[in-house]
Amino acid sequence: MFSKIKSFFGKIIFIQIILLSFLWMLASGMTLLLINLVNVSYEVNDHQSASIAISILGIIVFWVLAGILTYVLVGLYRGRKKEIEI
Amino acid sequence: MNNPQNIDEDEVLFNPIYHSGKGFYILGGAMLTVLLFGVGMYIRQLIFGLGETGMDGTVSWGFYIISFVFFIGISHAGTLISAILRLSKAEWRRPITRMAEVITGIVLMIGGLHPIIDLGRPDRILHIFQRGRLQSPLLWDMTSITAYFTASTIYLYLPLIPDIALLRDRGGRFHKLYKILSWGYDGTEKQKHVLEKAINILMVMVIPIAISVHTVISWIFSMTLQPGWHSTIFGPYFVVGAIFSGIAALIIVMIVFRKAYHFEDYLKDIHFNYLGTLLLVMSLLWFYFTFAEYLTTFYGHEPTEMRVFLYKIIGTYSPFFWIMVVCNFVLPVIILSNKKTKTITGLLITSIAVTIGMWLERLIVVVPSLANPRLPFPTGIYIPSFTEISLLAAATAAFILGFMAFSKLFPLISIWEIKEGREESVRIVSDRLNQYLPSKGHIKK
Repeated sequence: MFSKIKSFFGKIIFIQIILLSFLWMLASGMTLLLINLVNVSYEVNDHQSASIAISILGIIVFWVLAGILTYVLVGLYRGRKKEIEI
Repeated sequence: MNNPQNIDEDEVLFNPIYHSGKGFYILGGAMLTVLLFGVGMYIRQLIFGLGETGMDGTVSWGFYIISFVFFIGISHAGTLISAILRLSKAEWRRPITRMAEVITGIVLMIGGLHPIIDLGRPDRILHIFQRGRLQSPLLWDMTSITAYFTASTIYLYLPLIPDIALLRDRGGRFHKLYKILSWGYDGTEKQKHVLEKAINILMVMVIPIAISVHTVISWIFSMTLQPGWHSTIFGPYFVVGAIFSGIAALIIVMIVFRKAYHFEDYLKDIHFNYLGTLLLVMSLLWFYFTFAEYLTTFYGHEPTEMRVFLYKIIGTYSPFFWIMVVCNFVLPVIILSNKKTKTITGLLITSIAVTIGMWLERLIVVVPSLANPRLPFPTGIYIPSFTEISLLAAATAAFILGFMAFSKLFPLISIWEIKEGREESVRIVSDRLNQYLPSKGHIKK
């Protein structure tokens, strides 16, 4: 079991998953930031319409971008010659 | 290192990765010195505060914000031009898209740093995360630039994957890095399909994001009631200016790397001819917007607006204004509308002029309006300090260094797209032509 875990962490795929997770962290971070800023705008009685529109658009863009990259990287991994032969 | 058994017909495109001449190290060393000096000057500014700059209470934005708008503008060279050319299936795009996309990635990083440099106290950036006001266009800007940077980086990376796989298969210094970044790409039909689908989605997505970035930057100015800024055409005016300066930057980069790495067989006269025509069209469009903007101000004759207007046209900033007009309109029209002067040298001169002219345009937008506020203050004076000039030089050095570093890791011209073009372009274009043209002998009786 220990050797399995050790070999997984030593594999290139582990680094690749970490790299991909950075993008998801960015998308999640931007979502949290925008939600926080909308809350602040409510608190200080700012005009919210533009803020909410920009936030919704921003959040969608980041999640779609993260989704596209994940789709490509998973697709490339599954489409490898080895994978097809199996 | 390079495996001699793997000699490719496009070997010249791999050469910059494996071989560096003396000039590469001399230029790299010089640029690194300029960059480090700039970093030193920034640390000095951090210690002594914004008093080290030429900015004051009246003119509170100077070189840093000018460079921010300028560099973000140049970023339109890449992803936007590349996406439009891919979308319109322009076959001549193949050798130029990569360089265009790299420009975007590098200048977005450099441009995005400038508002932080302008803050004086960079630790205050944390306030944006905690208590930022989303009704401010500055915050919209942060969101759109981050989105554009993310989209551009992915848009640069995806078409790079097949080339990274080629480098991985060749072995060499960065074999492990290429192995990680190529995600097991073997060129199978399934992989090609996935990659093509994602690139197609991204190229459609990236265009509105790119346009939104510079529109939002223009709103930082036009959403205020400052004379000279409060204009409805600022959005498209900024976008046109951004694409204009972007094309000029792309042409400069192409000419320099063509000469340095002997890409003459890939970047041909026809590519420069098409880009030259595009630059001329953008010059005319830029002039149209500038003329419309200044004419309406002049006809309105509103006193505070006229103060800024005259300050630019015949006042303190008139030398910069008229140099801008010569660089952005007179020179491009004279050089690019004449077949004899529309050469690569002519294009290089025009592109350098446009780059200088567009930087001056940002200067003319930012400073005169702040120097002549609506409130009854005396006219402000802005003279950039040595710190600001050093940081502008450092930003330019960072751009050159960024490009040099990229050229040592990845091909500057998309190799797989060139190969694909050789194999399929003629058939694709002839099929397309057959669709456009009426069939022979189709006469109505």
